[in-house]
Amino acid sequence: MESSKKSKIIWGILMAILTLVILLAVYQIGTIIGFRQARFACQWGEKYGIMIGMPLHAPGSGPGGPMFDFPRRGIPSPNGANGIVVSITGRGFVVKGDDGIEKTVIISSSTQMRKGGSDARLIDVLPEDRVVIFGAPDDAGEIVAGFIRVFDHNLMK
Amino acid sequence: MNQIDAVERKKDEYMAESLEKALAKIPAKLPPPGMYGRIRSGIDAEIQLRSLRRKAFGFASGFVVLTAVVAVFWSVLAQELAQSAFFDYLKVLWMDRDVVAANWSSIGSSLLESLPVVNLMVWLLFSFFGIGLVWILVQTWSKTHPHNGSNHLAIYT
Repeated sequence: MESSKKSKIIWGILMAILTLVILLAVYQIGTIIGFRQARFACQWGEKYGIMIGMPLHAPGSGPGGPMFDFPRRGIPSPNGANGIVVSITGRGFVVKGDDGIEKTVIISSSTQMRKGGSDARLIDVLPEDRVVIFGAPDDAGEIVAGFIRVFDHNLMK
Repeated sequence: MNQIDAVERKKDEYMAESLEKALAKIPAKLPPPGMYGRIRSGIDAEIQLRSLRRKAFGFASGFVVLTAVVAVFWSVLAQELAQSAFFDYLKVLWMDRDVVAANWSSIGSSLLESLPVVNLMVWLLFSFFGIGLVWILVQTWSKTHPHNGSNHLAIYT
């Protein structure tokens, strides 16, 4: 009886330690992901003000950029984008999501792009095409695309 | 007067003695064997039945409330999921399965970032309590109604 009671206590201590480790690991992962999201949102916000023509020192264009309604609209996702192509640049294009947030997508040498059943390039992307992007954020608040799937806007109608 | 008292006293003593002798000749009627046990188990069974009825009412009420809450939260969650990019990402992953390996990190992050985490957690928590309640109800029922058909709540006759 004594030894079974002792083994239960030890088992309980071990489970408590394991639970604590798991909770701390989850907290740390959450902190890292949150930091990355916040950093992207800050950099994106700074660039967004410039993109829409806001003067550098205008009210609300401080270090965090213009006062974007993040609590209501949510922090922009730094690892993906989904929406309509609104403009095309030499390096990529700007995507406007269903939540109204516009993100700049950069195409690198390692970016894979597909339209329909075949591979595509930047010149195959047209305004108002629907795109889904998976990528990683850079230091300028843009998304460097790893994979882009383009849906022809004519077929979506 | 003293003589009458003495006679009355002697009469009482004689009557008590005669009664004792008569009662000693009558055999003591013992209760049947196990009767106390049967009475005790009957009382316990009644107490257990009342407790079971209270538990069943509590569980049923709790289950109805939880079902309603889960249904409401499910409709909110389904709406948020439909508005998010989660299903669009899944659709692209289904269409382009071969790119998952090369972009697993950004794909995983995008899927997680597109989830309505708070509502999902609340819905899962309520579902957990609902399923737990059903499990406790089934356990309680199986204890009071074992598989061999006997009902240990029955009062023995």
